[in-house]
Amino acid sequence: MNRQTVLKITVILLRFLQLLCLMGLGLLIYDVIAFSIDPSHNFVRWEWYMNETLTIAQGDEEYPLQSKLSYYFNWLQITLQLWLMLLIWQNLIRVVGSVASFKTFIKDNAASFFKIRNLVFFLWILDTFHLFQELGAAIQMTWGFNLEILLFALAAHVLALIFKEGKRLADEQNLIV
Amino acid sequence: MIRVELDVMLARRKMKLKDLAAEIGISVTNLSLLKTGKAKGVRFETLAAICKCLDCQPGDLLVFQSED
Repeated sequence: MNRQTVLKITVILLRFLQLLCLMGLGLLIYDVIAFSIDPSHNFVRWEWYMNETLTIAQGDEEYPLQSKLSYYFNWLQITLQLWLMLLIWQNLIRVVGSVASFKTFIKDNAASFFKIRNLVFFLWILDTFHLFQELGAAIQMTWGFNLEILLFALAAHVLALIFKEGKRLADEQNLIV
Repeated sequence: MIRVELDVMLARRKMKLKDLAAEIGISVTNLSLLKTGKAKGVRFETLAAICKCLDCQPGDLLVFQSED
């Protein structure tokens, strides 16, 4: 597989992930509207913090109803996370696009990776704390430390430094006649 | 530091920068960078082409100047 094909496939994959995020955001908007109208609405399984999966409820009795505080907290948290992921994919698409058009070492790419690092770090912060309150029960709080997300932020930082150095070398190269 | 004396050689040969650029196939912008001392380096290939065109030696174009 040649360079351009790999980059094209990467862009398609990233666009697909972007689409998934958009679909997720759409689903969440639908869910918050439905919940605001009818608090007994139980569409999204919100105990996602327990097993880190977000699935659709099969029946009303399967998942416990949660308090409004718990619902809106979780809604806001996961909406922000999806939004951050959308921005991360967007920045990655921009970088891969510039690499595909042979403009690898432009100033924007280093800036994009610094932005990705910040977005991932914010995502990591959001992921460290989870809250769930079943209706009529006490608030349950969990703390977690997701090393994988933090490593991704670190990788983005290293890539930003590489692209920054690449830009400096490219500038220097332009001054050699 | 290395000082580029391309302007001196051009004056001696009564040649314009754009004519030299056209002769050796390098953009005026790049040659201008070299002339004004803004260039970070010069390729042997470019240096050879300039020397050939101006009928001179690299030493006539590049002069070492102590920074003290």
